[in-house]
Formats: sequence, structure tokens, C-alpha cells
Amino acid sequence: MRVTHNTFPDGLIRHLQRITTQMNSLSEQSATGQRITDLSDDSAAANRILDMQEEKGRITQYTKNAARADNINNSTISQLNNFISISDRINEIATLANDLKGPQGLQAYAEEVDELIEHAMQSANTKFNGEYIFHGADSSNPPFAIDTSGATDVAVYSGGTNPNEGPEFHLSESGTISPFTSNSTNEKFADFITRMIDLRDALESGSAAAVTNTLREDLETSEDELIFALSRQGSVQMRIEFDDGLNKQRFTDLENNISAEADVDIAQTIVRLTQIQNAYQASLQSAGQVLNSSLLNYL
Amino acid sequence: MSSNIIGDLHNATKALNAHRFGVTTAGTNMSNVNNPEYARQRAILGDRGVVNSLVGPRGLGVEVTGFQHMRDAVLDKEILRETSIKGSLDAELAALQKAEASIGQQINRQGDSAFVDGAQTDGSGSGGIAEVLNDFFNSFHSLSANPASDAEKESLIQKSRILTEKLNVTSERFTDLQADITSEVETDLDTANDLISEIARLNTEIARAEASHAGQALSLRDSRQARLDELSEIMQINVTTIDKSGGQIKVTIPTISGNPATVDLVNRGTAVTLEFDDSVPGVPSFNVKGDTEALSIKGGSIHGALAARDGEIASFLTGMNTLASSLVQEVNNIYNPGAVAGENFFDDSNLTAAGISVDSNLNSTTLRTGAIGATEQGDNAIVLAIAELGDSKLGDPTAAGATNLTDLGDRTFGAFFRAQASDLAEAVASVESRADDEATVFNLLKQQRDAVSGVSLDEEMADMIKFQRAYEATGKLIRTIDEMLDVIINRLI
Repeated sequence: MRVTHNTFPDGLIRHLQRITTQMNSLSEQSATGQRITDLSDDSAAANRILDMQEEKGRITQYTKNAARADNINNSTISQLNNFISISDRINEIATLANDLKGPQGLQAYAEEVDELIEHAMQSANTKFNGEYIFHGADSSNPPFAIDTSGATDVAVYSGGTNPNEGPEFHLSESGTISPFTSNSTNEKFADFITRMIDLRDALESGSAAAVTNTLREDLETSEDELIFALSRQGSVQMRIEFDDGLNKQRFTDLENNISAEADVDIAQTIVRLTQIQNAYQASLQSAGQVLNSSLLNYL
Repeated sequence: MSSNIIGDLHNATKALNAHRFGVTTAGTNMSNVNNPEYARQRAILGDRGVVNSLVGPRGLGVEVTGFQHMRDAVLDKEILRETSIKGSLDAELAALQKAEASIGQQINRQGDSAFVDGAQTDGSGSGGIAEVLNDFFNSFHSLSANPASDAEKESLIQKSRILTEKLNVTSERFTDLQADITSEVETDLDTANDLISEIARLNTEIARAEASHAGQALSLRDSRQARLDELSEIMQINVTTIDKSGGQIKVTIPTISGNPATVDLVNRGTAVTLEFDDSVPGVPSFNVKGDTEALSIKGGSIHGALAARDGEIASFLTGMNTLASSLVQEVNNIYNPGAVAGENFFDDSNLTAAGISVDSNLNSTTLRTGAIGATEQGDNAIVLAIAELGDSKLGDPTAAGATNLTDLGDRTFGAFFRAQASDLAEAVASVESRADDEATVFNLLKQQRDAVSGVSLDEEMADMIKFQRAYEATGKLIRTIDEMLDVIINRLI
């Protein structure tokens, strides 16, 4: 082929353009550690990466939800343990209440039960982050009150309203969980407090006969119900931990998959960058030598 | 006239003239070495003839019989065709690259955490629509876990506004880009009309200049070829030489109907003006002024730019409108199933990506987590349902058992956006690859043309010396003849 005055410079410009494009790309890859930055670098891989990043974002949200579920559940379990401690003592007092204690002794027990009722009411109306945890969805209003309008005092749940169950939310894509106790469980707390009030009133009468076996059996039933509620919250705890563990594992798997799609092998990139730099230098040097001389130098 | 010494002197003078043209031609070539329009020339030296003398037939010496234009007509034609293809691909690529940049979506791993414990829900990615769409649904998940929280409600409102503004801005960018491309096409068409007139004018000048010297209006021919190259970059044209017309050409362009097959843009000294009708969206039309026949513009920057504008860019914009409209309808349907006035989540008066907005009544106080009228602050029924919408595939709403209102092609909102963005990115990559291939072909042809028409300084310097030496030698011949004449005139008597 006939070589003209512009053959060398035109070719040089094309080669340098190609080399500098490659250098720019490799340099960007070294700086970011990424093989893909623009979607058009590899549109199929970019689509998969965005999909996986979306899933990572969702899992991060589920993990935050799990942390909140865990906090609510821990508060619930803590209050249920309180109830059970109170129930233990109440059942003990109901067993100890006999004629040998005398009216004054029974009234002293009544005083203690009264204190325990106060304690139980406090636990039943516990708040977490400003919200009542034993009131289903109606978390802004106190769930338990003692109705003193009748012949005998009665603990009532939710003041006669019928709240929706506590909110369920996602800890994973497949299912929801509610860390709150159900309305039927909450009503059992009211029953327990009412039975405590019945025990107090019976003890206040000063007659051991007033503490009937039926009352004792009812209190034992309440204790069983509290233990059942605690065990249900224990299984909620297990599920939270299970989902959290799966989320952590899935997050790590996704990170590895994204890395495989998006990240560069730094060592390989640096070696290639060095190769290209050498080619760049060689290209400049050879062009410098070729373009420097022509027939003009010898005339 | 070389039968005597005076005749020899005359022949030598002619030779001197011929060598002078050799030197000046080399000089012209060298001075145009960097002129891309220029094709090198060669002075053609020829014998002036032969006469019979007393000692037999003798030559009349040398003279310049003409100048050769070093052009390859086939290569010129091929370059015109490839220029059109390259112009089309370059224009399409430039438009699509602008569109890709307008999406504002990149892969960014800087904020990515390797472990979920250190991760932020909105910490990764490039802040494109994919991320803000995900943040939007994550905010519903977050509020579903804490429906009484004002902070979560505020965050949800902010994320919703970021999403709507992102869609608004992206849509605006794409609409502006389409308008810019249209304006670019109009500018290109104006340039094409100027070039068409210029080619017709050059046709006339060439015919006039070559009336007595066929094929010798070299610089005018160079200019006309350069204008044809420029016109090919804007639109694909066919060029044919008109027989016995003094070197004039005809430039034609095909019609869409095929009847007539082509329309003349340039015929001898006559030029037409092209017009652009963009009144029907997505169906641009070109015609000659005063003629309704629609022209088929297949290559060049006009074709490439319009292919991008009415192809992938329009398709992406339609996709964004579908996304926005689906988002408004599906979210509002859950948030306000009875379509009670003033209770919507998104303003339903504008369902486009350009106009989507959060309802003006919505704020952290009025945001409901439950049904209208529900008073329990822990009720999360609505926000949970909207959060789950983010993971729902929305297919054909008319299919049996379908519960959705809109059709995202059986994809989630996130997957639908990713598909739209990937389609555009794939188009960028595909056109880029074709443009690279085309550049290789184009460069090879340019190299071949350069090999034929390009100037080599070494060659021209050698030529210049060759003619300079011949000139010197001829000068010496004249001096010798002069000395001989001196002998005859001054010394013999």
C-alpha cells in the first residue's frame, strides 16, 4: 500500500485513541474495583446486579423489622415473666391462706395481694416506645382498667372495645409475624387480675373459707395460661432468630454473587493496565521516531 | 519547428515550461498536504509531435498535456455509502448515550456492605430510579413494623416525594432530549439543503470550466466530492454521472412508495429544498418542497437520530409512563379503595411520569396506616398491603384470577424498571458495537483512498527535485543554444 504524509499520523491517532480508551476503562476499573459502572457495560449483568441490590435492600429492611420485633417480643416476655412471678406468689398466698393465720394474718396477705395487683396492672399496661404492647392495634390507649362500678371490682381489657390484633409485618418475603400477644391472651391477663382481686377481697374478709378451692383452681388455670402465653412468645422469638439467620446468610450470598458479577480482579486489571501503558509508550516512541524524519532532513 | 537551431530554442522553452509545471504541481500537492478534500495531481508530460527534417523525423519536444486527478471513483462511491452508515450509527449512539446518562442509573458498589449488620436500607446504589423505587417500598415495610411512628411516616412521605421527583426529572430529561434531537435533525436538514445547493452550483462551475478542458477542473471536483461526503454524513444519497454534461452529476434519494423510485436532489445546476414534517408523533416525514412524495431517508445522521428518538428513547419514556400510571393506580387502589375524594396517596389527576406526584393532602399527620376512619394507631393493614405490592408481579389484569389493575408484563415494579433500563442499555451496547465495526470498515476505505489520493511529501520532494533538475538541464540547453547562436551571429562574419 502506498504510504502518504497522513498515513502515519492518522494511524497514530487511531491507535492512541484505542489505547487511551482502554487505559481509561482499566484505570476506572482499578479505581472503583468494579467491572461494570454504566448499564451498557454489560446490560444483562447490570440487570442482575440491580435485582440483587434490591433484594439486599429489602433484606436490610427485614433485618430492621426483625430488630423491632425482637425488642417488642423481649418486652412482652419480660412482662410475662413478671406476671408469672406474681402468679407464683399469688398461688402461694392462696395455698397459705388458712384459719391458722387468723383474720389479721389473712388481712396482711390481702395487703400484699393488693400490692401485687398494682404491680400486675403496671405490667399489663406496659409501654414500648410510647405504645401499649398488650392492646393489639389500639396501642395508644391503656388496655387494662379496674372497673369499680359493680358489687365487686373487676379487671377489664380494652375498656369494652374490641381492638384489632397487633400488627403483623414481614421479616422475610414469604411470611409475616406479629410479636404482639393476641386479644384472647390479653383477656386472660384481665381474668388473672380479676382473680387476684377476688383473692384479695376473700383475704380481706378475714375468713379462710372465703378463699375457695374454685378460686385456687382458677388461679392455677391463670398460671397455666400465662406459661402458655410465655411459651408462645418463645416460639415467636425462635422464628425471629430463624428469619434473621436466614436473612444474614442470604445477604452474604447475594454480596458474593454481586461481587462475582460486578467486581474486577484487581491484580489482573493492574497487569493489563501496565501492558496497555507499555503499548502506549511504545506507540508514542515509534511514532516520534517515524514522524521525525523525512526526505526533507536529507535535502 | 526543430528543423533549425531557433526551433531547438523554442522546443527548449516549451520543455522549460513543462518542468516548471512539474515543480508547481509538486508545490501545489505539498501545500495541500493537510487538506482533507484534496486529491493529489500529476502534471502529464507528452511529446508535442514529430516533424520530418533533413536528417529524418524529429520530435518537437515536451509539453504539459494535462493534469491527472488521482481519484478512485469506486472508492469514492464506497466511502459515500459507508459515510452514511457511519453517520447514522454515530448519531444514534450519541443520542442513546445521552439517554443512558439521562436515566441516572449506574452500578455503584461504594455503599454496599458485605454484612447485613452494617448495611443501610438506602445506603447502596447510585440513587437511580431502581434504588428510590426500592426505598419507597422498604419505607412501607418499615412503617408496617412501626405504624404509630411519626418518624417512619415522615420518612415514607420523603421517600415517596423523592420517587415522584425522580420520575418527573427523568421524564423531563427524556422529553427535552427528544426535542433536542428534533432540533438537531432540523439543523442537519438545513445544512443538507445548503449542501444540495452548493453541489448544484459546483456542477455548473465544473461544466463551465471543463467546456474546453474535460476533467481538468480539479479543485472544483475536489470541493464537490467533499460536499457529497458531507451530505452523505447527513443522509444516504445516490450519485450518478450525467453523460456528455461536462462532468456534471445527479444526486438522487429513494422514495417510500417506489413510484417514482427516486427523486432528484441535484440534477446539473438544479437543486431542490427538502422539508421535514414532524406533525405525526413517531412518524417523521421528508419531502421535496412543492412535492408531497415522501422520501426514504435510510442512512446518515438524520436517520440515526430519529431512529433513537422514535425507537428506544420513546419506548423508555412509554415504559416510565406505564410505571408511573401503574404505581398511582395500584397504590391508590389499596390506600383508598373507595376512591374517596381527598384520600388518595398519589394525586390521580396525572398518571404520567412527568406529572406523578404525592397527593397534596398527604403529610405525616394525614397519612393513614389503616382504612379510612380507622382510629387504632397500631393498625398497619394498608401499609403492609402496599409494602407487599412491591413484591407483586403485575400481569394482564384481564386474565382469570388477576387482582391487579395494570399490566407490567407479569413483573414487579422494580423488575419492570430494570427491564426498561436494560433494554436501553442493550441498545447502547449494540449500536456502539456496530459503530465500532463500521469505523473499522470506514477507516480501511479511508486508508485506501489516502493511498490513492493522499500526498506524500517524500514523493513530492523527489518530484520537485526531478523537475528542478530537468529545469536546470533545460536552462543549460538554452545557454548552449545561445552560445551556438552567438557563434553563428557574432563570430562567423
